Amino acid sequence: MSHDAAGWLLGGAVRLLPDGRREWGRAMHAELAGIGPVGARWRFALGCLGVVTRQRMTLRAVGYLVLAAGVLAGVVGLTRTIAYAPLRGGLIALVSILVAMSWLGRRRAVFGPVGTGRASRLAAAGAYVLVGAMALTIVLDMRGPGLANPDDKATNGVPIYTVLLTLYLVGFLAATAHRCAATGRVLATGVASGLGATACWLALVLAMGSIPADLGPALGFIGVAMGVAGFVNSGRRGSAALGQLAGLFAGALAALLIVIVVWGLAGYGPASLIPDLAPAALSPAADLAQSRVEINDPYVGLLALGCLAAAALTAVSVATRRPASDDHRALPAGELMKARMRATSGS
Amino acid sequence: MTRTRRPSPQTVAVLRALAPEPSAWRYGYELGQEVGLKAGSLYPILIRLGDRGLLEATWETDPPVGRPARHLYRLTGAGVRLADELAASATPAAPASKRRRGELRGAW
Repeated sequence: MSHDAAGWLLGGAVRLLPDGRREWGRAMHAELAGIGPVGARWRFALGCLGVVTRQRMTLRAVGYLVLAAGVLAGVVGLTRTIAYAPLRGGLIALVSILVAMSWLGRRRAVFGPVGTGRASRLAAAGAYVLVGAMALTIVLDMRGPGLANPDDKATNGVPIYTVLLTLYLVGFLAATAHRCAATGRVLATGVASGLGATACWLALVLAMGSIPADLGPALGFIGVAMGVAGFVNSGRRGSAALGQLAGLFAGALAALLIVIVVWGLAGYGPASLIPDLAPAALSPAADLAQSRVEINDPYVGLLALGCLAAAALTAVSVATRRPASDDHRALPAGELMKARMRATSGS
Repeated sequence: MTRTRRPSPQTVAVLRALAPEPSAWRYGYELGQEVGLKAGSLYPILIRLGDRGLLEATWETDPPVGRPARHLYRLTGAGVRLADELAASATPAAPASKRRRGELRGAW
């Protein structure tokens, strides 16, 4: 092909192009191979380089690469104080897997790329923020110098959290993917219901004066949210599949949000909100410290239940997604061109 | 409401170059030399025409040994129609100063 500096330069730039534009990059690169004079080759290559770098999708792809590299570098840096290597490796693997899932979420895979509508983009962005916040909290929590049972956390805690967070992220990405049947209305009602359930649960906590030590209230609000979101999107106003998507989205989101709120309140909330779960503690300070840890335990179960909703959300999203032949309705222009080029390549 | 925008002179030049033989496949470098456009101007035009369904593309099926297959282009039916419309409307070229307010300038 083009084995000089101009060819290498253009070849490298073309790799930055996302799928939807890479065909054009390959076209420029192939064209360069047919140009002989060195000066003409450089002029052509630099012109093409300008085209590549001006593509908004290229800038987005480069930005994503920088962000992913920054996240990975960040977790490596944050965990450098962890002496127990398996724990550090597990945390780095947790973040790496989430980054890999987000990379797959940008590709034309089961759960990507994200739909072109505003609701899809906002919901997917929110999912990244929530799952990223959970992962960051886990990393920060486990890098403390006085961490108890690092071996248990490395062999049980971190792998479990990795599976749970991955399933949440995949569920949300599958529901917001461009081929998913979920409409903007489905996503909007799912998000609103999930937020509503979380707000109601938080209001109950403030009214009661402490975080419930059992999951009853949280499950009650989540159940109502799932029912409301499902009802609004089924029947004459939607379909059974849309109702399921909305309900499951609301359930998974509410469970995740409530757990995040519990983690925040348990770690940084006022002492009055923490129920006394360690009556045998030696001092009030130790009692409170122990209770702040203990209150999280039941909500790990909620995280797992929400994860089941997220897994079901993935399954329903995949089962009801539009066929690939309908991609043109939701594809960006570059993807559309690629599809057309495929269609004409046989002529 | 969608407003029809008149193609830029460079885009019109590309359409005019492709229109006489709509069934013939052309390649980018040759096309750029014919219309006097460098790669940095030509390819964005080709990409936009493709995005709008006015241009179709394929890969050369039998390239000579030692050279990779080129990407080839020709107008679609819609592209040919647009080229014809532009050719028909180009004859009475109004001076820029007399262009009515709201009339479209070359934009794509």
